Amino acid sequence: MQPFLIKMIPRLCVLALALSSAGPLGAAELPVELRYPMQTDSVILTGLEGSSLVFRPKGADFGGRAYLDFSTLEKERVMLNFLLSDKFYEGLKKLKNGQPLQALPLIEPEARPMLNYIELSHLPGNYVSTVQAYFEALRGTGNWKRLTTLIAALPMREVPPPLLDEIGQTTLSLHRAQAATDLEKIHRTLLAMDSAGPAQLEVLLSLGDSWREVGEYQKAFDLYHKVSMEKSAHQVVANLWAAYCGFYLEDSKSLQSILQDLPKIQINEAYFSLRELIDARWKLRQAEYPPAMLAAARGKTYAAVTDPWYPELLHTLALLYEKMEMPDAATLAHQEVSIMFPASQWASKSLEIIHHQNNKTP
Amino acid sequence: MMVKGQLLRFRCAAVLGVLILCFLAPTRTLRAEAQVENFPDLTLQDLAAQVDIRYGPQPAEAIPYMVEIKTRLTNAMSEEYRGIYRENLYRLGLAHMRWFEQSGEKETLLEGVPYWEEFIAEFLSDKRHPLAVMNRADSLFAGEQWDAAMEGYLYTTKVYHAQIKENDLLGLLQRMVHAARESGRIGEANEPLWKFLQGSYSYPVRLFSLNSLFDQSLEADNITELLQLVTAINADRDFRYDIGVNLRLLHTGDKFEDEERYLEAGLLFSMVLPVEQLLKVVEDRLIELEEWAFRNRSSGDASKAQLTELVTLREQRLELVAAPKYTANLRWRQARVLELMERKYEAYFGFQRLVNNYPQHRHIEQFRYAAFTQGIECGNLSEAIEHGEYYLAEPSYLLFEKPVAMRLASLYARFEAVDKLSVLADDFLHRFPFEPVAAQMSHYLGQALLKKGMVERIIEDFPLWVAEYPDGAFIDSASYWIGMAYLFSGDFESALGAFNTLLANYPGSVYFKEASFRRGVAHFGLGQYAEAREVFESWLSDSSGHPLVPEAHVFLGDLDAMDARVESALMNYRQVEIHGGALALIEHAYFESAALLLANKRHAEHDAMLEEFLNKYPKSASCAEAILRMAEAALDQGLVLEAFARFRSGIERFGNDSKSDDVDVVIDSWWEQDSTIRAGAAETAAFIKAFLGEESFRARMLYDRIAQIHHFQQHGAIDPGIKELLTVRHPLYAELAACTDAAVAATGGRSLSLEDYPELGELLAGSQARLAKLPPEKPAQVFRAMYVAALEAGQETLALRLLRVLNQRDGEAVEAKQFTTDWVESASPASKVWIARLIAEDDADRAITILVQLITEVPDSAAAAEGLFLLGELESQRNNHEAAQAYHNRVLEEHFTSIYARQSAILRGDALRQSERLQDAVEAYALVLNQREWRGEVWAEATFKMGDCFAQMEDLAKAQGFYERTYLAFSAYPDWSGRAVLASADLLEALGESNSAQRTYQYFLDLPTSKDSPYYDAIRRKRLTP
Repeated sequence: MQPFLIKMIPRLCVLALALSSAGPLGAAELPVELRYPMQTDSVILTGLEGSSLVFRPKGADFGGRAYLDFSTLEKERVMLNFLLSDKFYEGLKKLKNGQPLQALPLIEPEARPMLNYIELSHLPGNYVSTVQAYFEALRGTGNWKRLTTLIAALPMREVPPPLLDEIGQTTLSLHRAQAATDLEKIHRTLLAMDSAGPAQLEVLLSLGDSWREVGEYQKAFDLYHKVSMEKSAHQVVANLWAAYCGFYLEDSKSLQSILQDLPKIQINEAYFSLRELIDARWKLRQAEYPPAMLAAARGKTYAAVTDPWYPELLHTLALLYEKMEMPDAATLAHQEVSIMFPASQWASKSLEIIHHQNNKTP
Repeated sequence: MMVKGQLLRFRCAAVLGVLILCFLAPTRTLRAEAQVENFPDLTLQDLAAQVDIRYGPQPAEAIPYMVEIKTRLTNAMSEEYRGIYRENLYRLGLAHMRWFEQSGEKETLLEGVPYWEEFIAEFLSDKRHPLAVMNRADSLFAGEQWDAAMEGYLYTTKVYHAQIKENDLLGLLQRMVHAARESGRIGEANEPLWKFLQGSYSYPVRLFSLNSLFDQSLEADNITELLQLVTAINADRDFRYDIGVNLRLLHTGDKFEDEERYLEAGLLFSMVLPVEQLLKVVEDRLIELEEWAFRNRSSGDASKAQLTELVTLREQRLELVAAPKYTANLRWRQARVLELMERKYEAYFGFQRLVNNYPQHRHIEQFRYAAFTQGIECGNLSEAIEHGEYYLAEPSYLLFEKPVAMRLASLYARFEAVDKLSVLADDFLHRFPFEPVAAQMSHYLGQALLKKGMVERIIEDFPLWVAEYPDGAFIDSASYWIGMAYLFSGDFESALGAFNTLLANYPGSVYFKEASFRRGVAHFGLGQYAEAREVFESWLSDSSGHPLVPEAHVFLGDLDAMDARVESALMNYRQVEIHGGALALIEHAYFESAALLLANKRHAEHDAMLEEFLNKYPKSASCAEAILRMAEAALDQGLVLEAFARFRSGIERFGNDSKSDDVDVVIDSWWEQDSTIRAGAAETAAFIKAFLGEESFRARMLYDRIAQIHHFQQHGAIDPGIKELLTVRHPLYAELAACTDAAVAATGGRSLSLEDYPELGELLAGSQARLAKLPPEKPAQVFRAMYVAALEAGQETLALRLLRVLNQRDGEAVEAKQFTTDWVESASPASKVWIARLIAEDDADRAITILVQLITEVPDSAAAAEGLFLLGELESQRNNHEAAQAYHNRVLEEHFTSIYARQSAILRGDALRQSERLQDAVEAYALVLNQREWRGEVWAEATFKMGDCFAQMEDLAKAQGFYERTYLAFSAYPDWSGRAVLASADLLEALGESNSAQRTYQYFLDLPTSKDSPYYDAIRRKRLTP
């Protein structure tokens, strides 16, 4: 015991040393490796206390503990690697080969205890990739209940962006698997996260995008709304997308209040065209065709053809040309959207209209 | 040929020679010796040695030895010899290719083809089989055997596309496309090319395939395939951000635009990404990778793939930086094609973006002009005007100066911006006096000035232009508008002169017809009705289809009516509608026809005429008037019940239409008629009773004219027939006077009997009969029931109308909070004003919002006058005097005949005074004094207030003058005369002229009406205590 401590002291700025006979600190003991820029220590992680990680030397436990502060580890650019067995790596290989059923029993025993140390996920090292693999294996095997229980137990605020993204992917998988109850549980957990950081908000925003893209506007709206409530670089765009989803949720009253609060966006700023699209769709619904047309045309002019909302903008323009009794222009715009974006839902809608018109023409 | 060098990269050639030698090197039994045909002296080993010597430097010489080896081993069965045979066969093919390399003779390649074919057929499992397939195809290609080469390439791409190395694949595809072209089988190359668009192939291969397919679809004019390619480009990030692909799309779009295929052109243009966007994508990624590389500079973790990408990105960036800056031209094309596709809204913003983003572009003048014209096209008129004004203000812009000026003038005319139009027209007419469009410019200005009633400006300015450019292209136009200006200013003589001059000097003018017609109007105005009739009749005879035909029939109808030619008048009025006259003319025709019919007691036709009007024009603002006329006609005939049925029908029919407030007039008329009849019956009966029963009363009514007038004023509902009976000239007067003593005591005297005075009996019976014919319920009951029914039926507009009248006339309680936004929205204009008045005390802001909306939506309605008036009052209360005076000014300008006009005139002056615009206030009050029909108290008020204004301006002499004028001229209005006396005396006192002040007080106190003044006591005190 003593030599280990003596060996560690010179390398650590702040090392709280205690000789204690106390037992485990509530979490499983895990062998880890602390990689300093110039040296590596192999120790046993016994738990967390406040802002410190608690270690003991390898071998028999004589009660001696070393306390290392998080901030110290970060300052010293220490990499924390959990020492995993060959079985784990074998499991990883199987997972990559598309054999999640075989992979799960090999990965789970080593990865699961690590979930007790979610706070450590922010340190560089193999924590995130290990847990990611575990989640992936659970997803691959359709172990929704276990996965949901695990995720729901995580302190979301501590979950790092890559894992948060993994959780987001899990919700999408649950949606595909039609596991509505589990999905709802995780979704609520995500929404309940308080004081999300910028990177976490970015992940939530991206998850909102995914929900929007599959037409789950309520879930998308929830996430956008959450992101829009926090001050961040994503606030404006989240607000815009919330309004967009609100439009499709047909909740006119809340949409109206969102629209009123929407920020003004200058013509050459990002998302200007999305803002115009939302305006145009809203006015189209209110049968205010000329102002809707102005918004849509302005939006399209300043949109890039690569913007995800471009097909809808084009389709909206086509609808407005129809409403304003300019059938030739409407047909051309419908054709444009159906040719340029044949895989989009807007192309299908446009084609349907063209088809309907052709059938009407004697 | 470009591909020749490529095909001569012989696959695996270097190792093959060694292989054969290895096979032949061991000392084995050569069982094939018996098959010797050539080189009989040489063993197989010798042959191989000869091949080895010659194969490198002189492949042509090696070939006979190799052929001999092949011959000797042709039927060899052992695996070993079979292996040698295979290697030799492969080398034979290669040797021919090497020979071609040296000789350049394509026949050498073709001679090698059979060896390739044999190898391909016999050794399917050989790992060089793909190479053999390619070499055969390449040999055929270089031998210009296009068909066979094509077959070879198709086979290769079908079977071995995955095995061929990337570099070889690109060359192969290039040669395949060439062979396809040469063999006329380009279409067959498409299938493999589409396959090579997939992301699993290298980018050069995919790009080549894309370009080849693009070429092919353009050449074949296969638009379906081209659009599929567009889709493929759109779906592929590499293609989307490739500068070459984008330029290609741009140029192809140009081609389509030239061919007037706008959909295709538009699609391609919209696909092109601006070079800045391409650069941004590359630079963003580059920055990301550079940062990554910097962070990992010491760790050695950098992956090869990322480093390669970094290098590629750097190259791409340089390429993009050096690429032509096509973005502005792209935007120009996009907007232009959208315009050609009549997608005008998109086109407009496209042009506007060009104006904003590329102000220094060499085509900026076109951009500006296009933005201007498209702005007009899509109704963005205010922005269009800005573009037009900018264009004309820029001296270097000349290309479209005339069309811009003309269209801008039309916009100014439309918005009645006459000042701007005047400046523009003046400038234009001086720059281009002889251009045909100058006439149009003059027309716009003349029309706009006339519409605004600014005829003086036409009369002043237009003759100056005519004098300056007597040969100008606009002279006929100017002359016409001069004539019109005279016509509308009432100078019919000058108008006639102007039109006659125009007709004499410009018989070919576009104004000829109009001027001819206006001559008739001028004659009409001069009272020369015969001449007017002659002009109109003559004009109509050769003006079929002219827009003024309906108006000509109106004039002829009026002329007929004046001459009592009833049938002819009716016929002419009927023509107004037949020839599609404006609604105002049609209304005139209907109502004049109805008036004629009524005057001739043709009641049924009168009613039918107005019923027809109601049925045809139920949205007309004159519907209520039609109903009122029918009701009044019914009342005239004593058909009281029918009159009220008309009222009811009108209310039920039009009551829920919120756009018109005429129904409110009908509702009020109902109430007023009902009240009048009831009051008439009661007051007439009371009068007759007192008149016959009380001699003293009778004496006052017969002998005291002032008392009589006073009584009738106080009892306005008394049957007017009674007043006529009491005139001195009436025979009844003498009869009554004989029984009435002028000096009778206040009470008592003789009573008279009604039976002795049948005239009075008839009047009494008449009023009672009218009373009897009234609907049994009083208006309040009727309207309350209708209100409940309207609410139940969801007829909110009607319900509000009825609630208004019940509140205003019967004291029905209402609360401001019951007027929800939705309810107010559905209210008629008159109801809205009433609501605004009700809620103004608690919520002035909301009241103002309602009123502003009202005057914006229905500025011409009768309710708008009250709305403007109320707005003026509310703004005054909020001390917004400028806004208040502006609203009152609108009452005067837009609703001068309304009952609010005179009060607004005073309040406008008050508001201007509050704003300390005293001179303007004086002018505002002077307006009141200029209206003779407003004579009365309002004149007194205006005069006094003008005095106040001058006093404030310290022009005391003028102030004194107006005060004196007030109390001298308007002593009948003791309120104002009292004030004026006090103000005047104050001024005199200030000047030390106390005696004059005292005389002024005394003057007032001596007036018979002075005691009615609220200032009487104050003035008396001043008089008593000098």
